[in-house]
This record gives sequence, structure tokens and C-alpha cells, in this order.
Amino acid sequence: MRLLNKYKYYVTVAFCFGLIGLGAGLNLWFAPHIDVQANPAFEHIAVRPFIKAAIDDISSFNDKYLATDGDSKIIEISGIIGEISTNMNNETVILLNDESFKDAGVLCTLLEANNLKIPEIGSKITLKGIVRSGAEYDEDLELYIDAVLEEGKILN
Amino acid sequence: MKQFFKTTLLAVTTTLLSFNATAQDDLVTKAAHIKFYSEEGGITANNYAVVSKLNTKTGEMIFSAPIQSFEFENATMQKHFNQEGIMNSQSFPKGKFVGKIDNISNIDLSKDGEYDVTVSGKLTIKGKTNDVSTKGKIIVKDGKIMASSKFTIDRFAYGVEGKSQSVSQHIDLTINATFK
Repeated sequence: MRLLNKYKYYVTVAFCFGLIGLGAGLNLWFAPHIDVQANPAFEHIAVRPFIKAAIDDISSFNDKYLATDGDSKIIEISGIIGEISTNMNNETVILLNDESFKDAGVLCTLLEANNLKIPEIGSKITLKGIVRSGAEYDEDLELYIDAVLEEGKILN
Repeated sequence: MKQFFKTTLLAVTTTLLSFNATAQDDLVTKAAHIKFYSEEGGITANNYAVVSKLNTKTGEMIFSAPIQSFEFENATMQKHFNQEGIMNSQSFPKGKFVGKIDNISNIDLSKDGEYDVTVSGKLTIKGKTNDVSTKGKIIVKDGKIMASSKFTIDRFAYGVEGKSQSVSQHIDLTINATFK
């Protein structure tokens, strides 16, 4: 009888550990995407220095702004709206420029929920979004590629 | 002397005109789309931030994709994809295709219509470059040029190995771009 109770005890303990492990695994596997707007910004920066940092030294820029797991830096960035467009996923994309350097800007895809009120082209705004890539001159394309931010929201 | 100025002027004008013609033939979009699909695991990722250029005269075609813009439904999968052992997107933040439409001379992109094309070029992922040749379709309608292609790559040929057995060795890539 005592042996049976001991056996039951071990089975129950193993079962509990199994449940905890399964829960932890499922929690990790089904973890949500990073909530860009709920997290604090790493920095507030203007378009010009953000673009210049990447064009001057893309490796340092990548080390500073891109994370190894893709959950890269969340920034607030200010500039002038140069273009408003829609991508192939029907999301609104804003190009932020600097008046003194229009070859490259910052393309920011807005979160769907924030697509409603977009200021006019030429307005000065601040956006919050997650960095996906820096600006750089591409010799094959023979043009500057804009920096990319995603999951953006217009702050003002 | 007069002849010299005449010749110089002609040479400069010709150069400027040819440069202008080349620039006018280049169409660029900043919103092309690449879909990644692994049959094993049924894993899909989409990237809507792809820059692409098409030269309507020479058929030159270029795609540049920010790797961290590939969006997976599963956040953990997206993190694995970007990590050092897989795409190492911090060190290799862009993937690029540089090639051309082989049969561009048989296609009139100024006329509405559907054209079957073959495209060949070099695909660079994670710093490794391999030759790629694929079939595609170009639809010209109302001043828009819509290009699409689907092809398969061997991820091991690009050093995208990783430990996961739940992702196919051969990945389907679907590319769509609209040029105006």
C-alpha cells in the first residue's frame, strides 16, 4: 500500500512538471509579436542624423539599431512628409524627408488602426516605429534606398 | 576650331541625350512584395518593403529586400528566422537579386498585354551569391507594369542551415512588383 502511494506521488510530481514544461513551451511558442507602441522609444531623432548615420557607416548603424532576433530598436523620428502611398498589403506608408537632403528618407509603414488621420504632404510630424533597415546608396539600383520603419504611429 | 566646337557640342549633346533616355527607361517601386513559403511546417512570411527597379529597354531587373521586414504570423518563428544561425539579419540586413529579362527584345512594354518572360541573374542572401533562372509573367495594363514570378531556392546554398528540421530545405519565393 505504501509502495503504491509512493508511486502515485512520483507520477503526480512528474505530471505537474510535465504540465509546467508544456505551459512554458506553449507560452514561448505562441508569444505575441513585440508591441511597438507599448514599448518606450530607444531615442528621439530627426531624419537627417538618422539617415546620415547609416550612409556614413552602415555596419555601426546596424550594430546600433538592428537586433539579432529582429526585435530591433524602437525610435521616435521627426521629419517632413514627402510622400504618402499604399503598399501591396494595403497599408499606408509615409516617406519622411529632411529638407536639406532628399535623396534618401525614412519609409514608415503605419499600423492599420492609425491610418485614419494623416497630415498633408509637407507637414512636419513625429513617428514612432521599429527599425528594419538603414538608408544606403545601392550601386546596382544606382540610387539611395530609404531607411525602413514598421508598425508606425503618428505621434503629432 | 569651329569644327572642334561643333564636334564637342555634338558629343556632349549625344551623351546627355543617351543618359536621359536611360534614366527615363528606369522604373522604380519601393513597395514590391516577396512571399516566403516552406512546405514543411506550412510556414509563410511576407515582405512588403522591397525596392525594385526595371529598365524597360534593357530588361535589367533588381530587387532589394530588408530581411527584418519579413513578417511571420508566429513571433517566435520570426525571431528564429532573424537569428545568427539562420539569416543573421543584423550582419546581413539585405537580400538582393540582380538580373535581367532574357527575352526583353520580344516584349513591348509600352503596349497592354500579357507576356511570359524568363529572368536570370544572381541572388544574394546572407552574403552568398548564386545564379538563378526562372520564368515569370509581365502584365501591362493602363500604364502599369505588373511583374510576378515564383521560384524555389535551396536554402543550404545560401548558408541558411539552422537546426530546425521543421523548415523545408527548398523554399518557395513569390515575387510581385508593380511599376508605374
